[in-house]
Amino acid sequence: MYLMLFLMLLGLAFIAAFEVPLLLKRGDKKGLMAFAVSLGLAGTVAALQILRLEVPSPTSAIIYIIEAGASLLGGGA
Amino acid sequence: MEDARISSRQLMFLMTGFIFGSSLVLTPSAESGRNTWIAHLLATGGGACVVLLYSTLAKRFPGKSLVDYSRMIFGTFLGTLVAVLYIWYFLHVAALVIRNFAEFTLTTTLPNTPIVITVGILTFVCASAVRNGIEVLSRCGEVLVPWMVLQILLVLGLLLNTYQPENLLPILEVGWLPVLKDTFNLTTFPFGEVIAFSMILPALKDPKLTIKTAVPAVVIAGLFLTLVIVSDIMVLGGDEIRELPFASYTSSRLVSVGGFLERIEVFVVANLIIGGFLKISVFYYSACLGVAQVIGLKDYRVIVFPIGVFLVSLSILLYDNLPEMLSFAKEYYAWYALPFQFLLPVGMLLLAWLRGLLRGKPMGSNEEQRQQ
Repeated sequence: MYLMLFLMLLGLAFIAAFEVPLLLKRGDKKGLMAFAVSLGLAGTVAALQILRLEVPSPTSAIIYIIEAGASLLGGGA
Repeated sequence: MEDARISSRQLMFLMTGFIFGSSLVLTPSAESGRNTWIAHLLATGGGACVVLLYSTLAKRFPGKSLVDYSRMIFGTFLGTLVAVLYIWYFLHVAALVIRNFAEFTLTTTLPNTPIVITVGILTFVCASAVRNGIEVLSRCGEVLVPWMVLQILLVLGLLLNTYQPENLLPILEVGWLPVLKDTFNLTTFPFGEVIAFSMILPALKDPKLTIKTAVPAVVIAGLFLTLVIVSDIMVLGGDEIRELPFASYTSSRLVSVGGFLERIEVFVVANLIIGGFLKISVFYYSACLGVAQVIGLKDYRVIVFPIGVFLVSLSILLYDNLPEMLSFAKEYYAWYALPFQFLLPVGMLLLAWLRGLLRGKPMGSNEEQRQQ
């Protein structure tokens, strides 16, 4: 588990090392911000998954919504 | 955003490869058994109608992407909300296709490899293509799709001596209902997924050719998919088609010419890799472009790798196993995709038409854009 976490952080660091100098060179502050936020969010989701913490599956949520809609309409999906 | 231009020929190849995608191998909509080929033919017609709808929207708003015209039609707040929903849909389907690919690889060729490896490698290749832009992606389609067609024809040809045409009979013995259910499922997967091209159509060199390019691409891909399913039914039979998730792969394993030309299922795997790559890349590109347009970035390339990391996580998170994936694809996906592929585009077209009618000039027309 911790090896996976380490590998993931290494991957994120590699991506950042590749992208950040290009963004700094261009002086694209908005791009840098978007990059940092999106990488942070993606990294958090991945870390939660690696640490086997509760991450709700979007599939279950979609199935729940469709079932609820179907029962409201009086049928089955 | 991206000053790229693609030709109508490139769009046609890309769209055909996109529709082939994972559908050449994965057959979740085969409830009608030996009659599935009828559902494929009907879905091709349905797909052509749906694509006509998207093309009409694109023609009404030349040079504008789905994000742009949803904001123009619904207003900034509601339009952005619709755009965000579409971005989610593109990301989700990209993750679904990545997972399809991973499940296939795990089941058939690499059972001991951790899923994160297959998913990670495929996503990295797609990220590289997406970062290089739509022109590179289109050229990939131009080079790879003819190979896909050749491989399909080769496998179909080599299976000739195993065909049992009586497997196709009797026709419609269980009535139209299962066929229509399959038609509905097949129209949403793969044909309706062409909605992702609404982000790419502004890059077309000649927007007048949108309909003339998109509709034939859907029809060609649909006819090839029908050919493949007819071949699978003739080789395996209607009941097996219903039960087997990867029917084309299973049927291609039966090829044996003269006792030495065997194991040609590698062509089916190659087709899945090419088709999967094109489909994932188109969804991935559309999602990145959408995010960049919503938050007003100068260049979408900044977020390609972070979104790739998210796609890897999402595709692993989606399901626990293969039966769960097949159950979602069979029973729920069509209902989930319906608002994105049909309801929202129809709503947008109607609203654009109504608002244009009220203002006395077509909404999104060149004249209106010049005035703005």
